[in-house]
Amino acid sequence: MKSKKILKIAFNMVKANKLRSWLTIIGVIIGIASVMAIVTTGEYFQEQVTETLEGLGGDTITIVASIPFQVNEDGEMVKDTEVSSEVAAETEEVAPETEEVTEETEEVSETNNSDSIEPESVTEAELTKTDVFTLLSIPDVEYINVNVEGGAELTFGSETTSVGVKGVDPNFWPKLTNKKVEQGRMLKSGDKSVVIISKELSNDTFEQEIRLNQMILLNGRSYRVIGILEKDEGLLGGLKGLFGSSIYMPYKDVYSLSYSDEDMPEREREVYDSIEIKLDEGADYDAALKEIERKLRRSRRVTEDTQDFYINSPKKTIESTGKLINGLTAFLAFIAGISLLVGSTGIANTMFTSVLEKTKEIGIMKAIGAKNKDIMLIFLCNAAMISLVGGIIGILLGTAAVQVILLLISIQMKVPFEFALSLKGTVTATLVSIIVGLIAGLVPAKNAAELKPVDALRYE
Amino acid sequence: MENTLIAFRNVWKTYQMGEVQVNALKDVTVKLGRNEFAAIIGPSGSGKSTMMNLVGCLDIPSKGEIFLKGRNIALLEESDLAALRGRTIGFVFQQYNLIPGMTALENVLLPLEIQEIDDDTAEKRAKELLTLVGLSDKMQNKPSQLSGGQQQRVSIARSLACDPEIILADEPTGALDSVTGKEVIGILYRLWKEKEKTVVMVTHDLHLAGYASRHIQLKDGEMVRDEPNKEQIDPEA
Repeated sequence: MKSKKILKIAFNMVKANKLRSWLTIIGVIIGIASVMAIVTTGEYFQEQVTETLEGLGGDTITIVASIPFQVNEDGEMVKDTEVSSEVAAETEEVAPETEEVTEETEEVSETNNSDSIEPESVTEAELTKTDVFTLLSIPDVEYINVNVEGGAELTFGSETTSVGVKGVDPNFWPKLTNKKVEQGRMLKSGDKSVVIISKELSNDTFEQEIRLNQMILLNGRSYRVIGILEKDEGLLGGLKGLFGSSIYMPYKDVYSLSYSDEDMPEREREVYDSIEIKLDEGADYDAALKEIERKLRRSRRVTEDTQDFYINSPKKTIESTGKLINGLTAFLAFIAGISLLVGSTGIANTMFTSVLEKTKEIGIMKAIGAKNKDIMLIFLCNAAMISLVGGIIGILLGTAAVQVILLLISIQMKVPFEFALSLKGTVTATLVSIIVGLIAGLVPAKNAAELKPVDALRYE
Repeated sequence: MENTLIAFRNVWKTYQMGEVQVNALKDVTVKLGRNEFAAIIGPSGSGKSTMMNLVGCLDIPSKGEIFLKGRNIALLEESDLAALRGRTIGFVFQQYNLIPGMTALENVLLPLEIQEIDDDTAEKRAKELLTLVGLSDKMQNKPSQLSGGQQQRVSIARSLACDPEIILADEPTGALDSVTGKEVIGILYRLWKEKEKTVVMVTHDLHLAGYASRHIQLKDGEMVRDEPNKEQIDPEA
């Protein structure tokens, strides 16, 4: 029998039992729609989180000084200041790599000025020029930026507020950061008493907008605004505003920000809060990470247990977060899959009823020449049609549901709404719906095909 | 014999009814040739239906052999048997057995579609047949919108769709009143007489059997009589 005719007969069978067909289809719709919605939402979140994490650092490796914690006899976590101060005291003698200083290093040392390191006053682990030299000796390292963070009272016009200030190396920060200026320019070598501010600070903080080339007061000293950054986008862009700084300036200026609080001593020069590293394109990321760790440990004379610095690699965070979201999505999709299973049981049930109901017709068709294969295909097509219609409506409903969820999120998080459609989700849902239909229809169809014509004809 | 369409050779059909084995057909040997009008007669339980199923190749014998156009049906593949049956035998059932969801035309088209005849030829043929049985104005009616006699005529048209050599009619007038029944037997008679079909009619009605040219009588599964009907009735007369 020609496939066109088989499809026609199967379609008529679906049509002849509209109510039953629709009830079965609804079961499939619910299953497919939930799988679809969960897979798409999961994919969307993964994308957003990855984007945000990349925005926070991308492939930049950040090193921060941190005192290792040790558990004392009472089981309390205490700072191991003893160890670190010993280490710090020794840093002066360290830096065996400084001899191998390259041209690039010289450039760094020039711009970093020649302020001496003062490790003797240190009671906590800190990052210094020595560490920068150590890092520069690693061939895979392309750029190094140092950060000094601080806070200040910002006065503009008659208003005052507290802001976070981030001091950066004006030579290398523009090459390393993924922030971009919307107006004005980035920092450059030789900049002094200038700042770059975030869009939020420019627009939303004061009644009057802070404009390019205007002067602002930080702890009473005046600085000129030479650049305004672009706003961070994306679902989690707002979060960056919470954690990020709103003022960027050459790091040397941060040391000299005199604090209004008398008790706060002026910052020690050439001590950094963090060091950011950008690797050469094509560098072996993992190997470079290990090398950085090894060299820093050697130069800082620490072991794995007494390590007083922490290497933060966003790439690893992105990978592990991605895995976490994937796992979560798979788990939720599995639960949604259960409803799909229930839906497919519905198809099987309908098909069995249908075969029973059509037994006599099967007998007639066989008597007038239909082959087992024809009968089998008719019932399989019937099941496939039910599941395909359910699948298509399910995909549409699932997609619509995702948009509603995303719209609610976008309203809640005050970010622009983005349409999301997962290709993977759509293809999976379509394939699953057809396969489910075929599997659910297979046994009833086989039963129908193998009916003996003489028995089928006798069936009332 | 070249003229033979169906040959039974020592055919037995045994059914298992619980613990008991029932021999529905016992050692039947018979041949049906071209252009015969045979009536298989006998009271209920005599094995008529079993005989009819075997003649129609809807079932295979428990013992013995059945040859349809020289081919042993027990040895044929299911799909080959189905194809052979579809082309060689047309069925007319007591309860018409039309597909309720299809129109008269679609019911007649179905065997042609199963045999993969192209659409235009099939439709032309189906319409001709419905016209032949006098239903040219009822082609788009579903079986539920037709009377018993009209349904049986659709059933006859369907049986003729693939131009089979054998028309197998099971109590074709059993569900009809006498006037309509006579119309239907008239059609079958003409198919034998004018179209030279082999008509095999299963009936318990001796009057109906009177229209046939040959009587095969069954009793308790045995063939007790097989002879020409010397007093064949002509429905046209």
